[in-house]
Amino acid sequence: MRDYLIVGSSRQASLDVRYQQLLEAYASALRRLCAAYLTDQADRQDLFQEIALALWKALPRYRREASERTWLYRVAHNVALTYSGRRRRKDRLERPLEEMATEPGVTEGQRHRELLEAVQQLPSFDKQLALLYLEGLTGREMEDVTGISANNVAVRLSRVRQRLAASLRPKEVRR
Amino acid sequence: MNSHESPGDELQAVWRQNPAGKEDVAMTIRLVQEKGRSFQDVVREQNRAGYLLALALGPLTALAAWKANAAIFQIGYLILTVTVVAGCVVTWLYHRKERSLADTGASVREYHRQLLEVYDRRIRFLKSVKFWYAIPLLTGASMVLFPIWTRSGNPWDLWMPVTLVVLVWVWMWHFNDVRNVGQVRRKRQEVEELLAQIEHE
Repeated sequence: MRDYLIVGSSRQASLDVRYQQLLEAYASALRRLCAAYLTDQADRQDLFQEIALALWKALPRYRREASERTWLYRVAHNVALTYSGRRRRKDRLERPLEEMATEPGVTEGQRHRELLEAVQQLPSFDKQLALLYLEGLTGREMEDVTGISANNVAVRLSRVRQRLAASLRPKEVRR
Repeated sequence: MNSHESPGDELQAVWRQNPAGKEDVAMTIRLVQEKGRSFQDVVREQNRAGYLLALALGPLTALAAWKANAAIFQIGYLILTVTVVAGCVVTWLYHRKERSLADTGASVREYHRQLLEVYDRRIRFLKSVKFWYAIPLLTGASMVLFPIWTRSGNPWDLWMPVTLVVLVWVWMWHFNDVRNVGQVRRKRQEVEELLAQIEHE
């Protein structure tokens, strides 16, 4: 019984360490994901915590069948979709996107803000693809996260990239 | 830039201009662990309340069944006892199974399919309560209550227990089939729309 407890507690300790490393490594990416799903700063913070909580709960079940990054994005997107749907029900009238520019620490630079606005305006599934692409996931990884075929991902992603690139063009012209 | 972030095209470079917010990771972990604990506490508390109710009612109705001097009372109290205990067991088993159904680590498509299954199971469960729980419960209660009100031999004295039984049944039906099922259906519809969007093309 004593051995079992020691093994149990040492496993928990190693999970805690792994969890902290995981969160530190992906905190920036997860914050960007939250910003793409929600416009309100407090909601983003809540979503970040929801994702962190889901990761904490799901970590003991992670069996390395998928890469750590793929697994993390699966959990994050699944939680974000559920959470943003719940927020929409509670608050049908979201604040206009222009308000975001006044929030400190949300975005850095006009171009990033434009890109963020373009991502926010995408339909849910295109938004997921855009976020996975922007975070540098490969086509194979995107297929693993979303569950749709690589060909389908490629076709849809091509359209999404064009749309996002178009959102940056006016800024480049002004420069 | 973190080690896992590979260099990409211009869009990716612009996207990663966002500051990291690394300094509050430790605080987030603390908040998450507190949230996790409080969630577990809520679940335990809800379960405890249900089990305590069964613990309080179960022995009483069982004792009443043993002490009752007429067969109709004995059977009525026995049905109440079995229903209360079985209700607890079924609820516990159901929630135990439900917790393991939707895996957030699955692909987005698979997770949302699993969510649909969870919602369908929940709807089936809620709609079945009026049969497997309410009917035996009210049958047992009727067997105990009806003879008390009909001692006078006047059939009009039945109005009170009949009204009581009907009201309880209607309340249970409304609570489960209308209110709770409605909530689950709204969630299900959202997931269904999202899944349609994922599977489009």
